[in-house]
Amino acid sequence: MTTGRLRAPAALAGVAFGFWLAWTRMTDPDQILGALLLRRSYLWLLFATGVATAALGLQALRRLGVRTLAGRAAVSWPTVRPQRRHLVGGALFGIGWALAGVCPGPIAAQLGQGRWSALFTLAGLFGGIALADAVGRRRPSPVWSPCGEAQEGDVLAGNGVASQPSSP
Amino acid sequence: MSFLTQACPWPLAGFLVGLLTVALQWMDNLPLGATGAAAGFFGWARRPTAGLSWRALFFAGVIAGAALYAALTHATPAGWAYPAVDRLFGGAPLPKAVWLSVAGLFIGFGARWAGGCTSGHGICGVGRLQAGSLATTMTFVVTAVIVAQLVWRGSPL
Repeated sequence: MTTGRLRAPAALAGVAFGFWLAWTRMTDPDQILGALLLRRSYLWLLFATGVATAALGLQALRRLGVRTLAGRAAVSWPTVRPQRRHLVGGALFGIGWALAGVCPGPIAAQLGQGRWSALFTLAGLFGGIALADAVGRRRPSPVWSPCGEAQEGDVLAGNGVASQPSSP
Repeated sequence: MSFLTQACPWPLAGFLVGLLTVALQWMDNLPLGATGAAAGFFGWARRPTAGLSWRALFFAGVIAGAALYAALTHATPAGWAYPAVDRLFGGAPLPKAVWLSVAGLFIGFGARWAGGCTSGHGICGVGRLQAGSLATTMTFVVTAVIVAQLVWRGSPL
């Protein structure tokens, strides 16, 4: 799988995501913390709708045999089985999410909105990523990258990621 | 314009982010994910000669997209304000900086270790019906709900 094509559309997708994060108030920590306290339902309803839409759309792409726009390749994604790193990483991430009321996307979007406190969370975010990569590099079983895919140019590339198409 | 200044209604918001996930997949089998994007951007910042990956461009796009929203809605920038944390420390800047940086460390390390965050695992991965993503998502949601209770229960949020 080559992921370096279609750079302008990737940037545009980022713009759409940033716009969406601001419009949905994901960049407002009070909104997130209120949801985590189970006092606001907006985030959970949005999340459920988003997952349902993504699941339906992705299954449709695969079942209809749609080819990708960039490479005319089969639509596919890796199989990611639950591992210890999912629980350890998920728990650590959950702590940070609840301490600040932001996750990585909103941190970037906050900068665009002129919420300058995001510079602190951004510094922590980059530091944490660098630390995880540094620790992961020294371990026999490496950390995997998002959605189980090896990324171009990072230390995780080529580390036994199951990337064969899991076609129906 | 008032449609934009109000928070996006949740059915539309969920539909739109699902659509974006599908669009990226259709484009080139790309996974939506802010942590990978942040890692790509940070990698580029550290070593610009390596060139801009699609992930780095996506991350830059997120900043630009939020700026576009702020410009269109004529929003007043929040600046250095961070209401929840400000209440916790009476607005003192140093504890706030430390609190947010440490939170960021947990966010960055944990998300990278798990291989994704709320977008990469939560929306894209669970949408792909990946068991690892479901395990991650359930773990961070349960953890965050518990920690939020411990830290913010007395806060008017």
